[in-house]
Amino acid sequence: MGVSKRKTSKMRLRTRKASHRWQPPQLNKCTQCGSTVASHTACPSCGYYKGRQVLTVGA
Amino acid sequence: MRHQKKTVKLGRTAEHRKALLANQVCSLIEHQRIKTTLAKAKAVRPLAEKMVTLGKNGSLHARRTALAVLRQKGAVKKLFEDIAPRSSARNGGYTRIVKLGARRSDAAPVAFIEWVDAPLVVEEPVAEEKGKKRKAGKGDAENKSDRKSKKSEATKSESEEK
Repeated sequence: MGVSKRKTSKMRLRTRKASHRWQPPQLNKCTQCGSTVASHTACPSCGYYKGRQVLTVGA
Repeated sequence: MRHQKKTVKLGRTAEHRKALLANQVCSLIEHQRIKTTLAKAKAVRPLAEKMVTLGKNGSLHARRTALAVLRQKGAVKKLFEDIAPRSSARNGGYTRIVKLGARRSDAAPVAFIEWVDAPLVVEEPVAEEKGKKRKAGKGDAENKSDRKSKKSEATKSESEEK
C-alpha cells in the first residue's frame, strides 16, 4: 500500500480546499422588468421569457 | 455505465411510467400547455412529438397506434384533427419547454411544456383566462384590477427608463 512520505503542508491543503469554495449562482437581469433572473428561465416577477409574455404573475 | 440507455425512468416501473406519460400527453393535447416538473416535461416531449408524427400520417393504422399509447379516444381525435394538421409545416420540434424555476415546497425545477404551433390566442390566453377569473371572483372590483394593471405597467416603464 502506498504510504505518504511527507505531511501535507498547510499551504498545499488550503490551496486544494480553496477550489471547493462555494460559488454564488450566475444571475441575469430580466430584459423586461430588470429584476434578477436565473438564465434560461421565465422571469418570476413579470412572466416574460424571450420577449414574450409566458405566464401571468400574481393573478 | 448508462451508455445507450436513453429511457428517462422517473423512478417508476415501466407500466406506471407509460401510464403517466400517456396521461401527460393527453393533458397536453387537451389544455395546449401543462405545467409539470422539468424532468417529466423532458420525458413527455419525445412521446408527444411521436404522437404528432402519427397524427400527421393520419391513416387508420396510425390512429390505432396512437390510441394504443394514449388510451383516450377524445385525445386521439383532437390530436388528429387539431394538433397534427396545424403542425404540418414543421418537421419535428412541435413542443416548447419553458423553465419556470424551482417549486417552493421541494425546490423541484418546474417547467411549462406547450405546442409551438398553438395559436397565439393560447399563449396570451392564459393571461386572459386568469383576468376573467379575477373579474368573476371579485365582481365589483373590476376597476381596481384595471388600475392595478395600469400601475404595474407604469412601474414597468419606469424600470425600463432606469
